[in-house]
Parts: sequence; structure tokens; C-alpha cells
Amino acid sequence: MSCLPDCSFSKSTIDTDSSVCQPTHDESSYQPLSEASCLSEAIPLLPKDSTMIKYESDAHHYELLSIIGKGMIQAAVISLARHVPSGQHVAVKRINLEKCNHDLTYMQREILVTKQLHHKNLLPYFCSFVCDNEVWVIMPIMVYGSAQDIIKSRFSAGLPELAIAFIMKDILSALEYIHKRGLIHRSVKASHILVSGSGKAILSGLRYSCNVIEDGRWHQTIHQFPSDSGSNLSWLSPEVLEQNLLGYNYKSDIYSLGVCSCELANGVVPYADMPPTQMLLEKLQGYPPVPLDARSYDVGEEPTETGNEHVSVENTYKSRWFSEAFHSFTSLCLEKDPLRRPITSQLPQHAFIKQCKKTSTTLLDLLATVTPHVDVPSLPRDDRGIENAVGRLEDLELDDSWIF
Amino acid sequence: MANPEEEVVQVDGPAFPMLFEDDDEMETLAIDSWLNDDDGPLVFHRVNSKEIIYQARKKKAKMIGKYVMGDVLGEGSYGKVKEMLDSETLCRRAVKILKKRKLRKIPNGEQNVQREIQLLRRLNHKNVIKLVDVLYNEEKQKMYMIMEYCVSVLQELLERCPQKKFPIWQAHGYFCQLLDGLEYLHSQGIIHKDIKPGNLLLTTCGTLKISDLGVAEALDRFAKDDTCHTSQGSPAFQPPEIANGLECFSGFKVDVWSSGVTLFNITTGKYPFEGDNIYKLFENIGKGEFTIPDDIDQLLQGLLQGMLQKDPQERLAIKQIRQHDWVRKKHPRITQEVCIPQRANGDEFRSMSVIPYLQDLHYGPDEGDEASEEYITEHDLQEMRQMDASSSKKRNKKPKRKLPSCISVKRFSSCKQS
Repeated sequence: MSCLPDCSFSKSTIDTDSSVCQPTHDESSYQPLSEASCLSEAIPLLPKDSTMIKYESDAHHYELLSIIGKGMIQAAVISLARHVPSGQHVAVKRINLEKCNHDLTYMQREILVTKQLHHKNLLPYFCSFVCDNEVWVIMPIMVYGSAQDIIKSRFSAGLPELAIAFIMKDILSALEYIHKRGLIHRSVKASHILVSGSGKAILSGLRYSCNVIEDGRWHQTIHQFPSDSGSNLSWLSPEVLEQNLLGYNYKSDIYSLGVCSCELANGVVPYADMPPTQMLLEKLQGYPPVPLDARSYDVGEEPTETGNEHVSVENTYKSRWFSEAFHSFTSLCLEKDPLRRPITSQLPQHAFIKQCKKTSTTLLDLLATVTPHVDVPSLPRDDRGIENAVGRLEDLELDDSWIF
Repeated sequence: MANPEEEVVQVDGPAFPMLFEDDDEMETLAIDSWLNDDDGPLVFHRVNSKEIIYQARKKKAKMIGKYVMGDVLGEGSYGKVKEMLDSETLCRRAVKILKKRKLRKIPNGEQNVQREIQLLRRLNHKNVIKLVDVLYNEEKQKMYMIMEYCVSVLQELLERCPQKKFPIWQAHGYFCQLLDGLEYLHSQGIIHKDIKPGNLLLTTCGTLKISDLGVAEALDRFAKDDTCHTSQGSPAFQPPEIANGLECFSGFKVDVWSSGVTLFNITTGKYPFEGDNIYKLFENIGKGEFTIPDDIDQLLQGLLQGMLQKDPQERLAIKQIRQHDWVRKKHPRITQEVCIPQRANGDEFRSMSVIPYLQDLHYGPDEGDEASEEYITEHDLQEMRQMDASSSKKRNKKPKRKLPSCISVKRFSSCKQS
């Protein structure tokens, strides 16, 4: 009898824990970081692993294993790491402050903004801290890497339509969430879309986002030109590029989403073959990209003289058919006039997105041919001698991928 | 004069029919010869509109370094200001084109430009114009100061306002931004000396930028106070100490005075001091007496009185202005905002003017239209204007698209990045 009070006490703690930890069944539901800001840590909950893990702001708690990506114009290195106290694998982004000059404010902004957001399709940060001349950001590992990695490794002619629908559905959900909070993402693109081990698409890259709330006022339009976005130009909407008195709003993200869906469908970045000034002309004159298939692919457009791979990609374009719904989805998103473009909350009702519900297939089934970017057990163990790992992982695409 | 219909304006010999080309060299030559023509009295003759021939404006792509040239935004004594587009980042820019030949003719011209570049390079504030790049073309004796793009000047907006004054809340917003920028400049030991609505630029989002530091003075790092000895600012905005010809005066208080005149101007539509000529004007300023229109509220009257104190010692300092109730007060938006007006060409949104040049850059000239559009007479133009007025406005005309077969980018080899 004497132990009863103890038992009930311990039971109640478990209850409170579970109520905190299980509001949703998602692997990425974490306690908002802002609440634990003084400790700069959060409690992640993985479905298979109900134990609570504290991610400390201490470099000694993370054993770096291998480099899995680079970003922020070579100033950031993303490594696979083992969280020593728990044995869990995490991704660590290390930003060299000496190498990164003007990016610094963007990085600070990204950490601040990310800490305030909490959504199953947004990349969370467990914690961040300074270690010597680097800023370390601890994140969950996204085993399939970015959508751009997936295209480069297995789908050079683009992803299957259904896979794009799954990705778009998740990204739309993330966009709807951030738009409601007054943020415009401004860099929705394949390299900012990560795919988790459970087949969820996760949006990252909030570094380039801007806030429509300024001086306590909700601004209808924004005029500020994203000054550091040379690498995002292909995805920016005509109204952002125009820089005139009309300005832009959250609908510019919808345009970027349209460009991104063409990127996923075709396996190449739209406008990649032309200088930015020409891309600007094309957009302002209303010639948006299209998903290439038997209907939209113009044979005469490009000479077929390049290598075998190019010919096979071209043949894929010529022989496939995308659904009417997909064509309509991209052309809606790519409306030049933002007033005629749908709003974020309308798009999940589009037939193209709705097809996700009608199928029993999952994104993971569709990506079955892709070997996960990070095959955890087989990775070589490596303490901080990262240089050695670079050689072994040379086959991985390191140029622009994994831009968290 | 006997037969006016057939007389022609004589410019350097028999220049009939005149060709107005879109080339700044040609134009300056013509203007120079006009102004410097000492042979005989200058007579204006009537010319038949059919005999004035324009060469069609061919928007030929021109690149200066990585920048694509756009249309002219304005013109100053030193040269032109044009719009530009950074071809790599696609960011809109403005460029001040300075010609050595013209600069030599302006008192202290070259020195002022050098100083302005030096000053702007070390400044970084939201309400002070940023210098992005400086390019030189030794061969053409030109200098390009590439700056942040602004859509309008406060002066231009003011002229559009009813009674040439802003709604109080709008004027308050601009004034506060002016204070922010000015306080920053003073903190950097810089005295602007030419604050006026014509030197306050506006961006697309309504941010005010203090520009034209051509006559500004940077105080010596070890100077014990803000004493200045020279001023080349605009007469109507000069304080009594300068109008009275004092040898030394407080620099900061000069900027306070001209900001006061600016505030007076944008809230009343008038100037506190006027005069038929500069002597009369300076005489009036020297007395320091002015009247504020009655419809100005007491708070603002008080602030204006404080900023336009004849004695610089009595005149408010920026810190005091910030503490002033009129500045701290929240002004309700009761009246409609005065917006940036249409461009002369009917462009409502001040869109990029480089687009036709980019068209030329990437898709080449339109051969089909060339023959018909090469020469236009004034008469044709007038007819076209009438046609335009009668027919409904057509916007977003879709330009012809050509396949990007050949892309050639002309670059000036002699353009060096500084």
C-alpha cells in the first residue's frame, strides 16, 4: 500500500509526458524551440523511439561521422553525426563564420525564424550554438536528401507525376502555415525540399524569407528585392523581379512552387540554359516553363546532337504524358498576374493534389529505386577528420544540394 | 523673318533637316554650340512641323560592366542619371554618369565628386543613398556612379500634391526618416549642407533616402566641434549665418535649418523666405523673420520656430527635435496618401525601363519594323499623339518573341571595376 502513492505519481508524469509528446503522430513534431530558448534545446519525438532526447548545446555531444552536403556558398558543411548520449543520428550544419561574410545576417535570421515555427513539413532545428569559429545547427537527418539530389541520382528526366503530387501536397501545407504567419518564403525550389525517411517532404531554406509584418503593421505588399538571392532567380516570380511600385505578396511563393514543380517534372532547372536577363524577359512576357511531355515538348526547340543521355532524356519527354490536372496545376501557379494566381489554401483542393488521396502508393514506393542518401549503419566512422570522408563520398552531389 | 514657314534654325551651318539622335555626345555638342554661339544675336524661327525629323529611338542594348543601361531618369549639371539593371542579380540600379569635360566647367566639380564617392563608400544607413559601384571609362572620359535605385524624388511627389503640400501624416513620416538619416550622417561627422526636397529620394516602398552628398563636408576626425567655413548649398535653404556671410558657423545647425525649411515647405506648400533674386533672398533670410500660415497646428508651429531660429545657438539640435511632441505624436492617416505619379510615358508603376534594351540584347532588332520607323517627323508625332489620346489605352502589348538563336553581349573593354 505504501508504494501506491509513488506508483500513481510516476504514472501521472508519464501521462503528462505523453500529452506533450503525442499531439500528432508525426516524426517531426517537436516542442517549440522558443519555449526552451534558454536551454536552446528541444524534445524530438520519433515514432519508433518514444524516449525523450535532450540535444545539448555542446559540441562534445556530437560525433561527426561524414560530410553529406555543403551549402551557403561553401561556408556551411552538413555532416551526419551521432548524438553520443542517445546514440541517435542527427544532421549537423556547421557554418564557418570566417568564410561567410554577407550571409551572416541571413543565417541569424534563418535560425530565429525556424525557432518560431513548428510544422510537420518544415525543417526544425533541435538546437544551435557557437563552437570555435563555427555555428553548429543540429537538425534531424533527412535520409533521402533534397528533391534535387533525388533527381540527380535516379530521375534525370524528372520524377513521376504522383511523386510530384505528394511533394507538392506537403510543401503546400508548409507554405500555408508560414503564409498565415506573415512570412513569404521566396526560395521554394527542389534543393530546399528535403525528403525524410518516412517519405515526407520537408521545406527548408527560410534564410531568404521575409516578413510582411513590419512596425506592427501587416503590409499588403512587399517591395524589398531579395538582395542575396542570385541562386534563386530562376524561381522568383515576375512581380518580385519587376521591382516596381506594385510590389509582391505571398502569391510569389505560388509562382516559385510552379517553377519548382516543372523542375521536379523535367529534371532540370527551368531557364538554366539562359542568362538571367533573358529569363527575366521570358517571365515578364509571360512565357513560363511547362512540364515537358509528348504534348508540350517541342522537338524543334533543341538540336539533338548531345550525348546519349540527353537523347534518352529527350525520348522520355517525347514518350510520356502528364495528366491534364498536372498541366493545369502548373499553369495556374505560373499565372503571370498574381491576382489570377490561386491562393495557397485553394491549391490543396486541386485535382492534381487530390490524386494523392485516391492511391495507396506512397512517396517512398515511388522513390524505391533511390538509395537513401545516408545509409546509416554502413557509413564509415570518422571523428573530426572530415577531409578523409570527402574522398569516399565524392560520388555524392555536393555542389548545391542540401542547402538547409 | 520675311518668310517664316521656310526659315530654319541654323545650327552649325545648313543643318536642315535636323536630326535629333539619341546619343548624348551629339546632343551636348548641339547644346554647347547653341550656348556658345557668339556670332550674332540668337533668333528663333518658326519651323514647319513636317520639317522637324526625329530619328526613331532605337533602344540599342548597351552594357557598362555587368550593367545594362536603361532610360534616362534625370539630368543634372554634371551629366545624366539613368536606370540600370545588374545583369547578374537582376537588381535595379541608378547610375550617375559624370563627364570629365562637363565637370571641369562646374566650380569644384571634380573635387566634389571625389569627395562624394569617398563619403558614400563608408556610409551604410537605410535613409542614406548607397553607392554600389564606381566604374571608369578612361577613353570616353566618363565616370559611372552606380547607386541604389529610387523611383522618385520628394520634390516630384510634392509638385503633384494639392497646394503642393503633403497630408500631415505623410509629411511626418518623411520628416522622421529624414531625421534618422541626418542623425546618422552627423554621427559619422558628415554635414550634408544641401538638405531639400529635391535631394530626398524615395524607393518603391516609400523609404526616404538622403542623396547628393556633392557639397557635403566630412569633419576632421580630431575636430573639436562642427565648425564649418564654406557652403555651396541651395540658396533658399541656407541659414541666416550663411546668408549674412559669417566666416565660420556650426555645421550641424546648418542641416537643422535646411531640414526646417524642408519641413516648412512640405507641410505648407510655401517657403519661409523668398526673394526675387539671391540678394533679396539672402537679405530676407538674414533678418530671420518669417510667418507660418495660420492653418498649421500649434505643435508644428512650435517645432518650425525652433528649427528656424536665427541664432544657431538657440536653434534646436537633432536630439531636441526628436523629443519634440510633434515628432513623437502619432498622426492619424485621415487623408489619402499622395502616391508616386505616372511617368510621362504613362507608366503607372514605374516599371523597369531596360526591358526594350534586353529585348534588343537577346532577340536582336526587329528587322521588319526598321524601315518604316526609322524617321519620324514632328507632324507624324502629333498625329500619333492624337491617335493615342482617342484610342483606348493599350497596355501589356505582347512583344514579338524570337528564338534565342544568337546571344551576343557587348562589353566595354575599357570599363574597369574600381
